[in-house]
Amino acid sequence: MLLEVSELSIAYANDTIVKNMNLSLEEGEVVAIVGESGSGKTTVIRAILGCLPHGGHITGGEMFFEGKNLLENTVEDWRKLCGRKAAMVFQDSGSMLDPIKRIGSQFIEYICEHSSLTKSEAAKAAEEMLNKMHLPHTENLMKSYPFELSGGMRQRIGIAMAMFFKPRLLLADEPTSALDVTTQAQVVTEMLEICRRDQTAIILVTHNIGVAAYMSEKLIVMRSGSIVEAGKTDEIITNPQSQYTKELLEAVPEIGGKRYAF
Amino acid sequence: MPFEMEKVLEISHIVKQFLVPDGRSLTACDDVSLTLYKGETLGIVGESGCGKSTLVKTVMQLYAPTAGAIYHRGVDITKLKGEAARQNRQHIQMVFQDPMQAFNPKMKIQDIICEPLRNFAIIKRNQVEEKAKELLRIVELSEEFAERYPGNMSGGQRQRIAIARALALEPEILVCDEATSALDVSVQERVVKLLVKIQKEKQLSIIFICHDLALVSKLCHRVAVMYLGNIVEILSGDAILEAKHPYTKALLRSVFSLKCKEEIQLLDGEVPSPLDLPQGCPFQDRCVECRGICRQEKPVLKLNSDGHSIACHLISA
Repeated sequence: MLLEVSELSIAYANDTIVKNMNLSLEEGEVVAIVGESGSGKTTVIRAILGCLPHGGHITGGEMFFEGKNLLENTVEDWRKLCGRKAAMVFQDSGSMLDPIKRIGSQFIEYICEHSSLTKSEAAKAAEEMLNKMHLPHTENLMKSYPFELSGGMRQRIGIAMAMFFKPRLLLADEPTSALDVTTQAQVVTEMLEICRRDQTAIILVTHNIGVAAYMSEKLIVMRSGSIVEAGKTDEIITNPQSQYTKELLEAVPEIGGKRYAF
Repeated sequence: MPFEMEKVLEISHIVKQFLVPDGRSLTACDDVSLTLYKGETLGIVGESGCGKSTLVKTVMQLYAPTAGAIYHRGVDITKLKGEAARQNRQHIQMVFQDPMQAFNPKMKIQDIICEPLRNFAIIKRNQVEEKAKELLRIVELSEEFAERYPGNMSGGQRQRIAIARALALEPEILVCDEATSALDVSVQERVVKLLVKIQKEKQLSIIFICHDLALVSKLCHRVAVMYLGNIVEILSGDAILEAKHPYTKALLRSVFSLKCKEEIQLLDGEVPSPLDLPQGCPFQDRCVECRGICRQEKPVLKLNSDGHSIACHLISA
């Protein structure tokens, strides 16, 4: 078992946002969490990586990552864990990147921070990683500033950085929500390809149920902080049990499916 | 089609170029022609940067086109100036993508949705409250919202307020620029159902910009597909699976579906820069079926017998 979350509860100030969340993840497994905004999806994965925003704290439950209790982690423990063993891809990698530094120098800084590589070794490794992501003109990319790149490009760089150390766990928070359908397809397939190769487990948070169905083996449906339904993705999609899941699946537009009456 | 074919808006050969600082010009819309009929929903799809938003901004009289004309009831609205241009805005109203940025956060909802009416002196100050409640009922919101501020509402509720404001002047044409993209699927469905209901009641014509092909095919009577400032295909919403243009087919293949787990196929490369448009077909560099003629001659949009228009050398051949 790679990650085991049991009966986790999270509160902001006195408001409980997430109640009794359970989640377990094997090596290389992909779990998707879906639900409408405000359902606590993002809060859960932020808690796993110890980066809850101010005022957020865990009020109950346990989290074990590779057998180690995450709630007992010191600052130094988190620093060793984040980046190397667990990494995160954000909704908008553009706002994660420093706007006044070139992509290359940020990537190198990230690598040097978490390893003992020299700068020139790191530069070479970074470029190799971008190549592995099938990114074009990697030399130019390394010299670009974030604002010079398209949203899809920045997202792919965010994924390349997150996957550099072959983490055991990748947390992806709406990684494709800001992208076009074509770029979304590209980012999703690249992410899957690279995670399958490195046997990285993914927790995917999204409100795009089509993407969740395509990528994940297990699905968790959340609503106002609680799990409504959890299980194998195919089973939930073909045979949803709860009323809410049924409504949610019903609302997903399908090409060639039911049209609105005119 | 179940509605009468009365032309409401005719976009005719619109070209919009922007000058960039180094002296070159960026072509956002390259000779676009479209017709909107009464009571019809016209979807416009395409990747970001294909010129969809520029096109509707010229329709909204926010940009003056470089060339071409837009006729609303026989009047070229791009040539209107001063008071005539202002008066014409009553007929075309818009709903924006991000409703948080479309409102003044310090105005009450009732003042927000009645502001267009006050601007055209249609109602008096003391009628605002009553009119606001009426508009809120149309968008299926509780009358209590009249006294609230946009800050303490959810995204779906705010988008309903945006629709209420756009409908206040009883326009003939409603332009929705990615109006539901920021919403969750369940909320999106409710907003879209509301739009369809209002359209039926008021015989409204809607231009619906969206990059979600599945949603567009569900909602729109006709769908126009744009690529690099050009319209490459216009087809009926219920016949979207019969799309023939290679770009539309590529878009369809990149949609993640719940029901049929078809293998996703990727469209290689990126949209070329609109600063130097290629000679010939705009889609040539990414098209798998590109031939010699595609590199030399730009295909024109041709209308088939069944109301399906395609701009592609391979189809007309």
